Amino acid sequence: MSNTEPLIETFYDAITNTTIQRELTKEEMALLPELEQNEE
Amino acid sequence: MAVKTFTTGEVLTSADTNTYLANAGLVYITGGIQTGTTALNVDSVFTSTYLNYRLVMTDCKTSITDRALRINFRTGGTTNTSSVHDYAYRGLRSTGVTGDTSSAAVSFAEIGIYIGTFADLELGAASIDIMSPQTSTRTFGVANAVGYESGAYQMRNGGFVYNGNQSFDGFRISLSNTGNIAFQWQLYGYRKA
Repeated sequence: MSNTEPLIETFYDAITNTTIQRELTKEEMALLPELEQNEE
Repeated sequence: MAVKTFTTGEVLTSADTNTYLANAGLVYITGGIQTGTTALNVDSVFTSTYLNYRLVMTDCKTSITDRALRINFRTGGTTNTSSVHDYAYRGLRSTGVTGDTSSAAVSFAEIGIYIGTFADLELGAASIDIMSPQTSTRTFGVANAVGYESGAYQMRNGGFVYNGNQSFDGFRISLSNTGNIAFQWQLYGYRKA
């Protein structure tokens, strides 16, 4: 099952020590692993 | 190797403290509290300072039940989802029911936490050793995890591998399906010398 809805994820970078929450870009969503309905 | 035997009456200097007493063994790198979103992405944490790392997660909960926690690795702000991840865990619930899980050549690895019952409670934890993520070699992981599933706590022990030669500087923790994830986390580096 693919995720087609906008996703909000948390991003932390240790160099800048900043945390942001934002929607994934289309490019990022295309790289996500396939979601599963249930564990195997 | 940074070891010194101090003699009785020897003065402990700041230099000695900084060299021999600080940063011993597991060295704290960073950490935080994840809440309110579908995944945590962490960048710029795997460097050449350490070869191996430990990620400790606790107070883990999901907004929707029946979710396995996954890990992927990142390079330059991009998550790697190549179908070269293998993982396998032996699982046993406190009721005596087994709960093994495994997959080969998939786009993610699991870390052993599965929340099957009671969303929005603190029902999972894991300690994950991550070996050689920053070098352009295989990345291995060994995990011990606890999660609540089917009316009992389930303990899982096992590991994973990114079966390719790749250098990573970060990781991503996400769920096997939709929903938000929350946990506290700390990342340590194993001091080399």
